[in-house]
Amino acid sequence: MIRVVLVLGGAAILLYLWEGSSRAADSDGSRGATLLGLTFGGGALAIMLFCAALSLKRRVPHWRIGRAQTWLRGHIWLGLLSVLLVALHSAFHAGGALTLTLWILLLAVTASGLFGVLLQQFIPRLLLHAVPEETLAQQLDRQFTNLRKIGEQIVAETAGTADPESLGRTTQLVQEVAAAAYATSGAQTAAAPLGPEAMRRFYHDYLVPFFRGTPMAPLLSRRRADSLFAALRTMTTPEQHPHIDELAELCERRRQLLRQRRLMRILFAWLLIHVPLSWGLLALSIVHAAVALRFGGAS
Amino acid sequence: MGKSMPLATFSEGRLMAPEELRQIDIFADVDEKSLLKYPGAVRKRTFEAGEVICREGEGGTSAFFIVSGSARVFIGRRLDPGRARKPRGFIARVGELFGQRPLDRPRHAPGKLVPIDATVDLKYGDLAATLGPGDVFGEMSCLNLAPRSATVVAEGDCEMIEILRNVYEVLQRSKTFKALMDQKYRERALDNHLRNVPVFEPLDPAALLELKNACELVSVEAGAVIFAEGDTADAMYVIRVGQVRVSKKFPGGERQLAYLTRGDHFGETGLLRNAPRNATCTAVDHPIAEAGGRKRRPARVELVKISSDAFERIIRGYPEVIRRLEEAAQKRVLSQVRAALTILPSVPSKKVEDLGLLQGQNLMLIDLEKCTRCDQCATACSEAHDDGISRLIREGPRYDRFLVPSSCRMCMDPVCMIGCPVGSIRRTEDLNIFIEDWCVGCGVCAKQCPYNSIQLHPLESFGVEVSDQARRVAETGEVVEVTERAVVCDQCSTLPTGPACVYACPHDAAMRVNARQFLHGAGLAGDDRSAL
Repeated sequence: MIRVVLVLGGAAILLYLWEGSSRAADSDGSRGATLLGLTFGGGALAIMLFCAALSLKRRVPHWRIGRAQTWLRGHIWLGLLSVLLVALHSAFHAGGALTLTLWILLLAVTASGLFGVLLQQFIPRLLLHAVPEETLAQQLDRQFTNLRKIGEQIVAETAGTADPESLGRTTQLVQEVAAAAYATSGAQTAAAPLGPEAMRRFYHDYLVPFFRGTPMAPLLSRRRADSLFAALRTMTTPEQHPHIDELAELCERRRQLLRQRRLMRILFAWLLIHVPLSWGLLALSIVHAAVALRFGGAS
Repeated sequence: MGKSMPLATFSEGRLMAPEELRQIDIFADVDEKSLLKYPGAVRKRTFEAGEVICREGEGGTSAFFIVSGSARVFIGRRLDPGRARKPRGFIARVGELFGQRPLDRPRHAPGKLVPIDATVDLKYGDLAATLGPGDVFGEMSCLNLAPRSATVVAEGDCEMIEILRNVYEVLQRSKTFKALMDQKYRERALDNHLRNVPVFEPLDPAALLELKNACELVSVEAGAVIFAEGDTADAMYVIRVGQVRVSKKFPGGERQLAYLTRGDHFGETGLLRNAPRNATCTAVDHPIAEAGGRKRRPARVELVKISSDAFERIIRGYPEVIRRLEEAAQKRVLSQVRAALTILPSVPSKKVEDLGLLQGQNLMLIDLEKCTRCDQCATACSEAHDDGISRLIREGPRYDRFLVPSSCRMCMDPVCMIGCPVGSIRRTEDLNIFIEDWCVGCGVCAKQCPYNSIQLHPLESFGVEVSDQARRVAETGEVVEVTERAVVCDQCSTLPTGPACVYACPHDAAMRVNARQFLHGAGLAGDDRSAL
């Protein structure tokens, strides 16, 4: 594909230079009305139509009209060629309001597309390495609910039903111990084990906000979570430690899934710009072509 | 029938005392002590016309012996297993111009028998038959907890004896019972089974009768080797009850070539060529009984044995039979050569073994470094099938940078085929796993598949409403409450583009590979890079 595009691009430049040496440009400097200029413009419009067809192709992914990979490569490389063709069509001039708008749209579409290509190179790798627990995007909310329920079950089994009203002192203790542990990078801090009470309070103070998705919840930070769980271990009996480990693991899984959601939003966010701008560009290009052909005429 | 597969209750009917049982033929020579040992294991049941005795796909623990009256046995629904989308509407018709017309998939031969757990088989055409006095059904459910293979409805008032496993095992040791069952089999099923062997089709009725008379009914214990590779070929076999595994040794290890079920045949090519056996055939136990951990005797696989003498004597005058046998032999050799090509001598890493990757003859892999999670693969899969159900779930274990999604791998050892009560899951010649339209939705194949590649989908997904089912079984006046159907990836074998998932991947991330060749080629098979 790239070879085809390079050959076409090279040929277009040579033709442009040949024409430039043999005849003068229009009064505004552009050469859109010449036969060659119209050819460049028509070619660019055809490519835009082809690029737009990719979204239609996605609706019928199994149709035997070429592999999706070929379509995508064509979309990218021919899309880049269209920028060159438009530049040659306009002889590198911005022109009037409509053509200037077209230029801005074309550059924005191209830039957002290239940004998308870049994202598609890096984010899958990030997802692969940073989210070993990756799941289907459609399953994320369900997974969050499941993790919360498992967490509740672990706390209920280990510490019984929580009663936060009667445990104010414990909260303070947990916070103190956590602060100390955080300051000393997770070093063990002497504190009297409070057992189930500490578990319950920890659940209400830290796990519930975390599982509810409260912004800035302390457990969102892995480092902070490690020190908080280390602190909690100092306040509980050794028999409860395996359950605390399970809770820590649940939190880690949730953090991974949150990371997945974040990365996937970034991975697809560029489309929110690229797609509407592309349709806008296509519509305006058609208007431009119709107006030019109706009122301009080819020389 | 539902997901929970409730076991039929054994509380209805009247308990039968040993002396009363002794008056029935099949119990005539059963030791009274054996009957006294299991009080309450035999009940007399009476059914009125139209009453349902058991339903296809349900769990069951008992066998039924018909004393008087008759019962209709049938599979009450038939659902197309999902194939390349048929044109629907304008857009789809345009699609036809671009090669969307499905390729012809070999359908089941109209004369094919559907094996069920009874003394008769069902013809593929109407999937129904009648059982009468002396017939037995539900033996596999009784002995192996296999799901009921068909629905049985009383045609008129009828009387039956319902028997639990412990007494049924006693019965199986009775010569009278065995003789009766053999006689029933010869009367009702053997003819069909022999006609079902393609090479015997050209035989005229007289020759078939001679063949039938020459048949010996034998049984082997599950796990026993019926014949081993290299043995002298002295007989061919047709399976009467149970399943047989066909395996062959290759330099890289033994490989399972097929699982055969009731009505299938094996061992004939050795007879024709007067050559040693080229594969090993072993009797297979039922998977549910194996998994259940019940203390029990191994199941018995019953076979029809046709000796080489009888075989040669009968087919001598039929060059067409010999020609067909030659063709069948050549096909088998070719498939064995194909199988040999996929064996590699390297020792796989533990993770490769744990994930069962090397089982995959056509393993789906997704390169997670390239995959943008656009889900075009799964969308294409559902779009490519006329039931709109995706056979691909983009979730599963990871190996190195690859995701191994839930999708049929075309395993070298297709254990999903073990235990289907109606033989509806089979392997096609191009090694695809295919579920026939008479699947009763019992879920045995899905449980058997180690890789979650077979899913059960509610009937609503196929657009089936209860009224449709009611229409199908209107003859009996009974609606069969089936709720699910098994669905497996068919590798889009009817699409000229190959698997839709791969074709539709824009990033070259989805691929179908022969796992052994791919992992070996990538240097991953014997090198555990499982840090991910």
